[in-house]
Amino acid sequence: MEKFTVLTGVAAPMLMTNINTDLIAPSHFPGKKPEQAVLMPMREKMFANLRYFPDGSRRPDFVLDQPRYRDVRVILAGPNFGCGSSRETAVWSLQEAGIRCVIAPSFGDIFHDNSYQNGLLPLKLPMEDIERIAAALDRSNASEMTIDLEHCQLRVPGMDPVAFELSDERRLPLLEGLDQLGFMMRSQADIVAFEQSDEQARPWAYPR
Amino acid sequence: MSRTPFEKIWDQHVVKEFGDGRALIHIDRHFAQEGTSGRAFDGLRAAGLPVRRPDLTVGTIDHGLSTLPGRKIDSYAASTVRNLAMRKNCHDFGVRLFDIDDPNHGIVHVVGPNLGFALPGCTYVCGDSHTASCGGVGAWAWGIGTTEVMQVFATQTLIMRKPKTLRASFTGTLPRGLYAKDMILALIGRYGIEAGVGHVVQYAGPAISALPIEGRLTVCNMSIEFGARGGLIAADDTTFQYLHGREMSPKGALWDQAMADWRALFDNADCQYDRDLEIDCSRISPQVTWGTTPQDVIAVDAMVPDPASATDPARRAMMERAIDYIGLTPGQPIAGTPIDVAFIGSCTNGRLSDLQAAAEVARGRKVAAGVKALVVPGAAHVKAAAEALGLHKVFLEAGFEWRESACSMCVAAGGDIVPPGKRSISTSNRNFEGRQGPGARTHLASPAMVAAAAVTGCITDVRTLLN
Ligand code: SF4
Repeated sequence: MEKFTVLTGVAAPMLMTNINTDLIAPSHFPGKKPEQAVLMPMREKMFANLRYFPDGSRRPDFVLDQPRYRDVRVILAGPNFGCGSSRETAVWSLQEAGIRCVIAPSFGDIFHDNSYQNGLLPLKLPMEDIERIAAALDRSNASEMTIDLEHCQLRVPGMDPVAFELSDERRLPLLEGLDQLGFMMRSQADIVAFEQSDEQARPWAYPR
Repeated sequence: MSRTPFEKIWDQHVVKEFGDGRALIHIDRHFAQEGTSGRAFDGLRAAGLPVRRPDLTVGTIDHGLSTLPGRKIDSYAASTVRNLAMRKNCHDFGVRLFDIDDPNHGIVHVVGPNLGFALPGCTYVCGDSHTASCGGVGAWAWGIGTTEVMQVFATQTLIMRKPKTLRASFTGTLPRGLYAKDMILALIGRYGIEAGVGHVVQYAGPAISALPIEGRLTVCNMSIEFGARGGLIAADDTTFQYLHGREMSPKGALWDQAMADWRALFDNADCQYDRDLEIDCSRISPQVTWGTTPQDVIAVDAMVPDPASATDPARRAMMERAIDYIGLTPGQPIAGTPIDVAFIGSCTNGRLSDLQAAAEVARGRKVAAGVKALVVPGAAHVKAAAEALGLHKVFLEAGFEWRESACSMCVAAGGDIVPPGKRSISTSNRNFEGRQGPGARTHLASPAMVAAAAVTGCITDVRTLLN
């Protein structure tokens, strides 16, 4: 997993509520046959139903297609980002497109966990703060902000730094780029011991 | 004050605590599906790891399959690579696969309870968000991502943060013409799609106890549409009767011990939940969605809401967007809205009782001109049971198509797709933009309501068709 320490990059506002994982990583692509769509890179399918009309023509107003946001690294979103389907392709699509952080007031539980598993930071911030950041970025030249995970601070041109809270158990694996499976594998002995005693206590739970 | 059933299940599965409410949780049952396990199997291969407990793991192919009669594993070209990979992966790693011709084949959440693979008090996962369905038999079941699928393959555990508890009580008696689907839609409509985030929901109350298992599975299925990390219903005599003698249920003395354990687990007279919500079932009407999230739901005899009536600006913006996408007018009655497609199936409502409820409406009637109507049983066993009752004839005579089981139009899979701009009424669980195909407009409802719309050609209060 790629480390996440200090990230400076373009942040794009998508302040809609309930951007679900079907919207982020759709299973179809407007105007294309399923067997064509399945071969496309994930970043090209990302947000396809927001980006294209059903006939496959581009919607001229889609935010990430504006020149200003071509190098987007951060998405500013509304509440409940990533709700719905468990598809991890939602996280992988964002990452393929260069996005490493989504800032939203709340997230769907499964997306939230999937993000941490892959080194994408799902950062929770009150909606007022997100709106203030979006407004400041809109006034700035480059729409660039800094997410400093070492110091738990956001820096946005024209604003005082914004502090955020994140527990160490969430923060440290990102800082170190630690893969969770490696950590879990170290508990093998505990798992074996658990299963032995559990099979005594609940023998019916173990098929034979 | 005693612990809630969920808290007891949590405690029984803690391998190790890490502090901050985090623990390594043992997984009793893992059902893999082809759509989300490919990269997990690849990861095992790359790391040289086996599936640690193939005895606690099974697999199926359900998402990317054609549902046309006589379909093969490669009839739907876009999914062939993935489907064949699943076959090979299960073979290579010693995982029992319910392949497409297996009598136990079907949509993963329909098959799990039917097999007795899902059991009360068990932790149960699948790389699919509707796994919570299995809470209907009293399992703590939840959907996971592909990285977690690989972790369960490799370790039979997951690192979990202990969710909070929420009790949703359904009081009163469900009137005729209303079903489990209406109960869960009413709950989500009232409290919103975010209300369950961070919680495991326990569905309780007399209207839940009165539901047969299939209805309970429907209620629990949509827990994710409520935002929840699982939803469960106390196992009771209805549950025990349902599970007894199923292929993978415990047998003999183990069955007796299991029942005693389950009774103790769900003996929860005086426990406290972090949050309590209530729905009075005697006062609800058949539900149908008007927008693009499951919370955008109204009674079939109500009017499409006006976004201007929303006080919260974010909610107003969402409502405006939804109305625009779905192509309705605020203030118009939802009943009478013409439909193009009617879909009966999915892990929410693809079980025998769902097909029976739909057939009761379809019997002796005809699908309206210009409407494409599909019945896709949720599993091979559902199809067989329905055919034994002659339901397929009822549907075919009425002009419905009768298909092989798979996810189908729930997620525009296998070639079953709603064309752009067309209006569908569906027994599935998600009315998201683009879910049934780019530009498709989806109304969620119960199987009886979908059958009613199919035969009248428009959204119709099913109670007017029942005698
Ligand atoms: S029927 Fe629909 S919701 Fe259920 S598993 Fe299949 S795609 Fe997912």
